[in-house]
Amino acid sequence: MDWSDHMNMSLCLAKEALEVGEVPVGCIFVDNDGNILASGRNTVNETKNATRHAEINCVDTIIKAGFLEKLSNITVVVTVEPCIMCAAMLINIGCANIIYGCANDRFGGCGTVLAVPGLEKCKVQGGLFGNQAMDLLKQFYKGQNPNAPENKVKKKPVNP
Amino acid sequence: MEPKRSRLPMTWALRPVLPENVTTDNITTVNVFVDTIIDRTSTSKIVKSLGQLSVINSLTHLKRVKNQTIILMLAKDLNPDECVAELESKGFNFAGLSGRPEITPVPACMPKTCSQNLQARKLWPCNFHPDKRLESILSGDFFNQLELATIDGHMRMALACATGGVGAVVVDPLNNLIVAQSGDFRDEHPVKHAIMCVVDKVAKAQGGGAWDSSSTIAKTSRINDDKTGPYLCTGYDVYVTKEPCVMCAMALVHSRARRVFYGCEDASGPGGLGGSVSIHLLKGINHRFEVFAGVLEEECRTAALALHTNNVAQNIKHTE
Ligand SMILES: [Zn+2]
Ligand SMILES: [Zn+2]
Repeated sequence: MDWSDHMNMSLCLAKEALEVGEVPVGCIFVDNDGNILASGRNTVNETKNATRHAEINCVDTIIKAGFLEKLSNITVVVTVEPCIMCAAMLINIGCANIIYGCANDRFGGCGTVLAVPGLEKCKVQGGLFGNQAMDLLKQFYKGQNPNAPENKVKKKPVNP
Repeated sequence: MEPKRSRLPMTWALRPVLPENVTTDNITTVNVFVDTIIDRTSTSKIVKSLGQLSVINSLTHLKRVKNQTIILMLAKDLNPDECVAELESKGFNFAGLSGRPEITPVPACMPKTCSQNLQARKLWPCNFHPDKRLESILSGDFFNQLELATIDGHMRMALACATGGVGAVVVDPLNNLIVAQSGDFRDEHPVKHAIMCVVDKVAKAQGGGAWDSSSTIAKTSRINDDKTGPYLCTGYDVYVTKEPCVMCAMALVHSRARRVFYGCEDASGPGGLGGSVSIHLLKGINHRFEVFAGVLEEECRTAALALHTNNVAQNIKHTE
C-alpha cells in the first residue's frame, strides 16, 4: 500500500502546526477500508498541556465522533516517529500499522529511545518523506519553543 | 543493597524505584596485572612512573596501590611475560617490584553507593565519595515522619477520588495544596487514564486544557509574582493509586512532574515506572523525576480490585 498521499496530508498538518508555533507533527488515522477517521496536529502550546500530541488529538476526534469501536486495527500515518507516550497509547488501542516520516531522537517510542511494550504486535515502517518531516522540526527548533520559560524549566527541584 | 523501606507507625512502606545499578550489590570486575612492591621506599617513584607510562583511563576510580601491591595495567589477554615486555617497551623500570605480575579482578566502575563500596573494597580500594541524598533515600530516612504523614494524606485524597479503580492528585509541595484531582475514565475514552486527566486539569488551571471537566478544585495554587506563571507540572508532585502505564509515565516526563508517588503495581498491564519499564530512568530523556512506590499499597490494591468486582457484578446482572 502506498501511503504517500496520506503522508502529504500529515505533512500539511505539521506545517500548519509550525505556523502557529507548535512542534510540527501531523497525523492521520485511517481505518481498514482506507477511510480517514481523523487528522490532527500538536496543540501543546495552545492547550498548555504537554500531552496534546497529534496522535492523542486524533483519538479525541474519533471518540467525540462516537467511533470508539473503530479505534482498533487502524493505520496511523504520522510525520514523526510517535513518542513513547503516543506509541504506548497506539499499542493500547490496538493500532495495526504505524507509518512515520523521520525518527524521534528525543522521545521515540518505536525503537529510537525505547521500543514500547507490545510494539511487536504492530507493523511499523519509518522513513516515508522523512527529510521533509525533519526539515519542519529543524525550522521549529531553530526558533525554539516560545512557551517554555527558561527560568521555570531550569529551576532546581526543591527538597520536600 | 536493597533500599530500606521507610516505616511509619502505619501499614505501608515506601519503596524508592531506583536503577538496578544502584540497588545491586554485585560488583562488575575487570582483570588487571598487579605486582608486589619489594622496596617500599621506591613506592612513590613507581606510582609516578606508572602514572606517566601506563595510564588506565577506565580505572581512574581505583587507588593505584593496595597494601604492598600496585596496579600495572589492564590484563587484556596477555600473560605475565607479555605484560612485563609491554611495560618495559614503554620505558618502565621494574626496579623495586617483584617483576612477576599477577592477574587479579578489580571493580570495573566507581561504586554508586556505600553498600557497593563495601563490596568493591574487598577487591580493591576506590576513590569513593558517597551521594548523601541517595544514601538517605536508600536508608529509608529521606522523608521524616511528618513528611510521610503528608504523603499518606495526599494518597488518601487520590484514593478518595478513585473511579474506575484509579485515582490521582497533583500537589504543589510548597504549600501542600491540591492543584488537580481525577479518577480514571479509560472505559469511555482510551486516553482518559487518571494521570492524563489530572495533567489536563493542571493545564486547565493554567488557562489551557483540552478536555471538558467539571473540576472545581483545579485552581493554580501558587501565587506567581513572575510574569511567566506556572509551566505544566513543573515543581508539582503526582500521587496515583496504581503504577502509571507507559503512556502515563511518559506523559509525566513531558509534563515535567517533580516527583511521583504510587500505591500498588499494575497487575493488569505493563507498568511504566518500575513494572515492565522504568521510563523515569531511561537514558536520553530530557527530564527526570524521582519515583516512590508502596504508599498505602493495600488500600490502593483494594481500590484497583473494586473496579473488577464492579465489572463482575455488572456482568452477572447482564447474564441474568
Ligand atoms: Zn507523542
Ligand atoms: Zn496510563
